[in-house]
Amino acid sequence: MALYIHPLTSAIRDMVAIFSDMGFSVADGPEREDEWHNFTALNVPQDHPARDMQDTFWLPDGKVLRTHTSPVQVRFMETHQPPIRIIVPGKAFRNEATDMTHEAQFYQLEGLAVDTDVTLAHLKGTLQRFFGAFFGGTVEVRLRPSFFGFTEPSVEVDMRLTSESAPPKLKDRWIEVMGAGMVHPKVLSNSGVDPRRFQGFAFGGGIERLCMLRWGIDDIRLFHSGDARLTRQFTV
Amino acid sequence: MMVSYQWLQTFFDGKLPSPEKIAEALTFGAFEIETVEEKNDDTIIDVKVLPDRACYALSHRGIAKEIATLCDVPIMRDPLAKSRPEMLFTDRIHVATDEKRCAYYSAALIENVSVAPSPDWLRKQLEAIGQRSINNVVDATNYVMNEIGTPLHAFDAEKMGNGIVVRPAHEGERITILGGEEKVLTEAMTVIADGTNDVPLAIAGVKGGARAEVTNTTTRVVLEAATFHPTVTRKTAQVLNLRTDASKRFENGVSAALPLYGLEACATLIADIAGGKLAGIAEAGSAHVVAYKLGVSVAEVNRLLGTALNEKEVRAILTRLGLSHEKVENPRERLLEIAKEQLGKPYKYGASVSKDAPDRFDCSSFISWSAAQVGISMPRMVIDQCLFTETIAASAALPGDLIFAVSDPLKRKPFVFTKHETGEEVTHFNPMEESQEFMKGARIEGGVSHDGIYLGDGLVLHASSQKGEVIIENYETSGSFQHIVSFNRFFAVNQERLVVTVPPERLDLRIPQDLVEEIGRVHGYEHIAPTTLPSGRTTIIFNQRHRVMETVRKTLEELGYMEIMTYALIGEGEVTLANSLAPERAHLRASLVPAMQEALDKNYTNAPLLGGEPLKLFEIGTVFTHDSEFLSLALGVRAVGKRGEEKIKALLQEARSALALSFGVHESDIGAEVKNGILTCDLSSYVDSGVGGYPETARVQEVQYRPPSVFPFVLRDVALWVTAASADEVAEVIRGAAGTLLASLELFDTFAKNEKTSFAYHLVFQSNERTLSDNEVSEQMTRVESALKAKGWEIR
Repeated sequence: MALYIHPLTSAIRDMVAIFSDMGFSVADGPEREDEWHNFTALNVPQDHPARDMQDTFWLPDGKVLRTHTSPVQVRFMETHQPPIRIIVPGKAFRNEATDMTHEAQFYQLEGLAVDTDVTLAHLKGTLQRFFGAFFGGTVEVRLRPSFFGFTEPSVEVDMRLTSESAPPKLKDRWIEVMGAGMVHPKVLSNSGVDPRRFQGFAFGGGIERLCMLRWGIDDIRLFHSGDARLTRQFTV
Repeated sequence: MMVSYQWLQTFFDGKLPSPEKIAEALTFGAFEIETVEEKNDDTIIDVKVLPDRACYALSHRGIAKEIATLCDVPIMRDPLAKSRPEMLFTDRIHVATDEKRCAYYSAALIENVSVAPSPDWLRKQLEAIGQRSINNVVDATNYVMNEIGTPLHAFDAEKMGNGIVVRPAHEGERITILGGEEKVLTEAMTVIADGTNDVPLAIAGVKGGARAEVTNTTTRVVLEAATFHPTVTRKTAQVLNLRTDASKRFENGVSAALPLYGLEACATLIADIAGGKLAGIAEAGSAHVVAYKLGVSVAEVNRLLGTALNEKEVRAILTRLGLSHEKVENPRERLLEIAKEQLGKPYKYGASVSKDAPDRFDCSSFISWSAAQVGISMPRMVIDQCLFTETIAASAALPGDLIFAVSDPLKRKPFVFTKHETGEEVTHFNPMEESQEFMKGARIEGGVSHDGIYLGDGLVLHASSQKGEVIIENYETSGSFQHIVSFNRFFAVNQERLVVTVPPERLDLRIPQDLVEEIGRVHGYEHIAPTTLPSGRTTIIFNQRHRVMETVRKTLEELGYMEIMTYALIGEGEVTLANSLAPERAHLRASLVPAMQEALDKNYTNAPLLGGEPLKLFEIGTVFTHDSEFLSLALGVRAVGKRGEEKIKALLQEARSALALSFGVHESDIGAEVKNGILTCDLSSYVDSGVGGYPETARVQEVQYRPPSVFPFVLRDVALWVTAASADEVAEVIRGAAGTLLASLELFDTFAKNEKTSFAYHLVFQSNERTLSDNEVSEQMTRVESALKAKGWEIR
């Protein structure tokens, strides 16, 4: 009998499997988040221009709908000491107009690895292995300078599928897929991890977008539309 | 920011690489490039400058510096390379500033100006980067801002007195801004007021007022350059909905070193294009900036980047970056030398490292500044310095280690501290027990309030509040070290370091990791080799929430349910957003039921495309009460017609039993049917309990995805008798004959009679481009039937 699987569910299963082979556990946190975990602890201070980078849904009690899954980094480090390797496939929210590529609600894949000697080279290697396994075949990963309060250095992550078997639309094309960097020492110390001894990388990117690239889905709004015609096509 | 290629060229003697080459170098070395567009005889590059680099890069000079670094071409004209401009003062204008709102304010008086349209080159240059030309004086201010990054403003000196006061706005104060609009201000905003009558002339850092506008009749000009407070400027611009080129720069911070360069450049340009003579300048507040020192070791660079750079390579990169630096081979010895040179410097409680050092110190600013000189970054406050350094035995203390002490806890002293990121002032009380800046939650019981540098032989070098200066004394007899907390050692104090003197405009270089980023991006991230994380460092911790979701999904997927996902923001719920996009998305969902109801209705109209009846859906998601959130499940089943309700009951019962079995609980624990065909279940108790790994679940590989069509579908049936053929074989033939218009094929009936089997199929036709006509579909059906007959099968 055929099984029907929502593409986000299937993608998250792939992510959990691929990353668990590399020693990463799944972690989660609340979707209604306080300012400390969503911004301040992540070195995005109040009234700082960096806050403009994420349009936020505010609640009357001063909490927010988390604008990214990064607060789970802080929550996890508050209760666990390194070595740490986690991924957070979770929902995030942005107060912005929607169109075929923008959605006010979306899934993000967050990753965090903290140890005494985790480097930017490990970030590159880890993501290369992930994209290779997720899209199938060989993948190149490229980093470009960027800025996020919670990482230093900060980078944008591009990938390029190079296998013969890659979908023609994606083959040999650089595609921006994530933001990443080395965890800012302030984030470590805000979370109770000693930045003199430990360092690590973090990354985050939209899961819908990865699904759209992989399966050729053209409209991000379908994922959360409740339309079963999407799920119906993802069958095994 | 719009950047002109021709403008950039003026900073270089040699011909610049092509605009495309520059865009590429910037993309991989510094900034995202939005567009590169040819415009008249210039090329305009739209550079996306993110908040960290705005302090220097929202200017052609800043971008030129980046090009010099990344393309390794020498910059020949750097307006900030010369020493601080020396300008004559005049007493014909007076300025005063509230330093909390504006740390430095300068104004220049220029007389005998002829306001006129700008010369062609200036008008074209501004228009090329999307700015409107106003007149030669205003254009000059705009030009200089785009050249070096410090905003300027010109007032008509005839329309104001000879004094300027920077002050908080009065609550409800009104000002008509350039362009004629009236704005109502609050005390949180800052104004530039006329010193003689207190009338506001401009909203500080945001927008000039109409009152002292420079017009064609203006002959005397007051030119302003200042450093308005980032947060105040940002909030003002937000509240007034007035984000201007100036406010964007101030909100990211403008170094106090820049305004004078701006004033001089602008006065020179005005003299050049509008005549006029500089009468002199006036200033208030302090433009003094202590050179910021930052150090890294080559080992630290490699440790973060995963590279194998050597010292020569790192130093070459620092040189390309224009960062002057020196190698400190023995930080401990050098620290002692530098610290001893400060003997006799006056004590000032709460002295600022960035403004007062090395002229005045308190105990911890003395330590912080001295350590910075040898490339060791230290927190500013005593408590954090104590936590940041490593405690050692008193007997092991060497010269260059630290001694921490605590004063009488009953004599608590307020300590006003300015936060680096926001400029916000916070008052703490000494002695402090809890980390303020370094490590949240870290404590030293009993507190700590004083520190000094151990010199050996019982001597300590410290900034003494009791003696009012930096002194050396025996710590055992010193009044400041009566209660010793600990002896501590700097981390890596013996490791050689490269110590960089940060250029004043580079407010983005504040921690060693900032330097590592500079080195990494100039070295080139493409040269960092992907490396696999070592295995065996962690063990997998199974996540409860994920386990529960996967258990539910597996159970229901295997019963043929389709998972849907819907919006967490809906039209009803206990919690209302403070800022919503629209009323139908203004609440956090308190239940998955309304969305499931809607999904059943909507999807039921597409039932033939979804495998026909019964329609079986589920959703797992977070729902919200006024003070909490939890994981919930909704199941939805829709079947109509003969015995529809019975079918629904049976299906829900089946799902309940299966879920109960999966979780090892009683069926009654699996929620309840809340309305016809919808069952909901709070999953939080399963998240909070239970153990074990994740269930084995199916994953989708290849899919020939077809976007859902907005056009109507047409349903047709075919039934046939076959002998010794499987349903799959038949389906294959139907698909082959029906072509791409077949959107769904569903076997809905099978029975056997004698040796023959009957299969009946629903065929759903649909196009993504148009509404299908009846004829078109009939043609497809004829083709299908012919193909089936050709196989020798009998259409019923």
